[in-house]
Amino acid sequence: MNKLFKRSLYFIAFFLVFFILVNVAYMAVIAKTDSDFKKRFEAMQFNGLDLDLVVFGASTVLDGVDTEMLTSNGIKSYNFAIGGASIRTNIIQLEEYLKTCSVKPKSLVLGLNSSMVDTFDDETIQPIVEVTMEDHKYSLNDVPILKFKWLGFEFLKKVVSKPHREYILSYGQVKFEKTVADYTTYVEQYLDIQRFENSYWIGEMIKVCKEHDIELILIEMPGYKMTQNMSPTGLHVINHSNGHQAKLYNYNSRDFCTIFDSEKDWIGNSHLNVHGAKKFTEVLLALLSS
Amino acid sequence: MEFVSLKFAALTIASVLVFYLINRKYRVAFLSILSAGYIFSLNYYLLPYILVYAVFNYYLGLKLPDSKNKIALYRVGILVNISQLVLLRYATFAIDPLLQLFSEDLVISRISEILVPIGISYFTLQGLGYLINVKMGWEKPERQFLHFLLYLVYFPKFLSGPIERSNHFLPQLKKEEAFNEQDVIVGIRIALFGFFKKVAIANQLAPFITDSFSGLDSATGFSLGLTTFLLPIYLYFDFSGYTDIAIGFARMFGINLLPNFNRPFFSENMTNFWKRFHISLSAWFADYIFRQTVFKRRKWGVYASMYAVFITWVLFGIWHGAGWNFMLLGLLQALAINYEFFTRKWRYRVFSRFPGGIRKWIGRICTYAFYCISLVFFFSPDILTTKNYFSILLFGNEAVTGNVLTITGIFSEIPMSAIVLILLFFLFEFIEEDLNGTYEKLNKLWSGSSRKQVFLRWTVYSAMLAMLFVLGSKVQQFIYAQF
Repeated sequence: MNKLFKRSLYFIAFFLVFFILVNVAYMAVIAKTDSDFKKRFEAMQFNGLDLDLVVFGASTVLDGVDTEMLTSNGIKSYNFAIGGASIRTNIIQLEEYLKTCSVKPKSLVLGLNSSMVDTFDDETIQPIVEVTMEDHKYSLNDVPILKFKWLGFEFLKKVVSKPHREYILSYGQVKFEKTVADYTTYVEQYLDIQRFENSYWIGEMIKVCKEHDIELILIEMPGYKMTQNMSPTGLHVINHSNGHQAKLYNYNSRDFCTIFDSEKDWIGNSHLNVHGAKKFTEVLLALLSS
Repeated sequence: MEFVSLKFAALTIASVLVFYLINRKYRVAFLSILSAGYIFSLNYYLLPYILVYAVFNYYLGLKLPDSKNKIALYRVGILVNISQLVLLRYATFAIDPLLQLFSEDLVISRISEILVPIGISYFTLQGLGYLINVKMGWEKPERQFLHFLLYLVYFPKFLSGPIERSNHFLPQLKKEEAFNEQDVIVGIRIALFGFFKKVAIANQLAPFITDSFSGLDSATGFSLGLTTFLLPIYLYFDFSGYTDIAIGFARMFGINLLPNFNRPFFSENMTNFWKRFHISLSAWFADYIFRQTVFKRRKWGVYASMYAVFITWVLFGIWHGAGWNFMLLGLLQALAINYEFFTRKWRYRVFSRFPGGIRKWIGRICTYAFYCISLVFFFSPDILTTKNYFSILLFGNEAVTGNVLTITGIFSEIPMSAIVLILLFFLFEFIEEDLNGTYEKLNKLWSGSSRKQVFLRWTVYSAMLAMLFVLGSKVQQFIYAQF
């Protein structure tokens, strides 16, 4: 029995070493190849970088807002959006940035997808932001192969597919050349303004922006035809239930989305590719300049 | 407590430690207490019920050989065993509809709601098997009650088998063996493979399979085609994984349970398939129903076999549950086996023209396809669902228009890791089945005791454990499906 006990201990030690090595290797590969990780590290190193405009949101904003174009047109900006980020995550990112900059940004664009995923009141913090934020208490649940399981599949996609590998990370925006046409059909639907007005985390974002005297612009991001709504593009004024106000532009209205070519401007699942992002950012640029 | 869980595995390993530390005299008692505790944790009322059941069969077993009314006593035993099974498991199907002809308040199935007859199908077959063995003189009655009780309630096999035979299980309890390191190591290894099959493969496929049956309204012919193809694979990895865990746990305590699976998808006909799939159950039915029926009707000649096949397989189907679906499942198997029996010579004449390899694979593919269809009956909750399922499978779903999942979309619902692991498992099974030379070489490479071989084995086990950690974790995954 002693022999077995000893052997078991050896195996446990072997397994622990194996497990640590696997996690280290996994983390190294993911951090080196994943765009979200890269930009997170990039954004965390901002020190005294003063921007005119900060852009937040989830993956549709990450792909769809060309901050390089905005910067070259005189609006110094960075796209902080990160895949799957909730508004709560965006607030954490914003507060982190505000601690490092010497001059606060004039404006903040928060891109949302009310028709696609219900991230408005999502309490979760995007895992990449969560493990890299200050005061995070590490636990066994933060083991990389578990925490970033989905990034392993993203990595495999990059290994097997050239279009997935070929992206450019520029001013926080991920630029994809790949095209996936939008073959979906319209559904009769309207933008639900009340959802914006009653969302706790949108209210928190409005509060933080007010506190730091930043102009908040909420935008409903463009999406596939099946997500587009029949409401006007706006300007809509959000009278939030917490008493504050914010501006909302509905860029997912059917009228507005006619600027996109359904065959050429999308990369799939309501995400704009580099061409669509350019078209969209031109509109944003005009809005911000005015 | 869930059987397939880290908690249960840890508790079992801790029990193994205690088991080998205590005096050999008390080990059977220890396992009996452990098993009783496990049953108690499943349902409070079940434990006293099983104790009464065990006492009845134990006492009957003791009385049978010397009784003057041997046949009557035996018949009482069989009748009581079957009645309690019917009462607790088939009341909604077989008793309540009859009783409700007299009064709507008579609902016998309420008893099973209190007793929750978990494992009843398994321990009843074991009780029946013991009585038949003793009556036929194939086995001497067990004198020690604790040994008999453990035969019925041994916790690794209690919930879902394998269905043990008393003449295989009980002699093992009499062995006065010292601690055997190999038993523990082999047991852990088998259980690890079982956990891996269940968690890393079956559980990954489960949502796709269950969604297909629960969401028939939105299913397409193609998606159901894929589901049908995956049904045997899902059931195999789910059940053989579970069985491996049971066999592995039992082995750690020095008890060998009967095997349940032997590369079933390499069977070339259904007759052979059922000798390799859920072996302990099909062998039980073959020994105690089929052979007894053939013997009783031996005057009918070849038709005795045909009749016995139908009786055996319809009962086999019903054993799985109360419902017409299960009956039809059994009937289908009976038809296939009878077809194979009566067309043996004709098929031999036709297929002997084909080269051996092609003949083999035609048989395997046809067997697999037939089992795919059979399993639609097994997984459907009722006959209407089966009908709708086949209707969509064959003629498509007219109700589904608009944003239907594309073919790639349907495939994307099946985790890639599960597909890779399934292929890997079948590759090894193929080598074991068809490529003896390669299998010997691989086996040599795998099972040696040199440092390199140990390193190889430990690396594979560690990788499996790491995958179990990731795929089996109940931590809410970050739900983010990028395009």
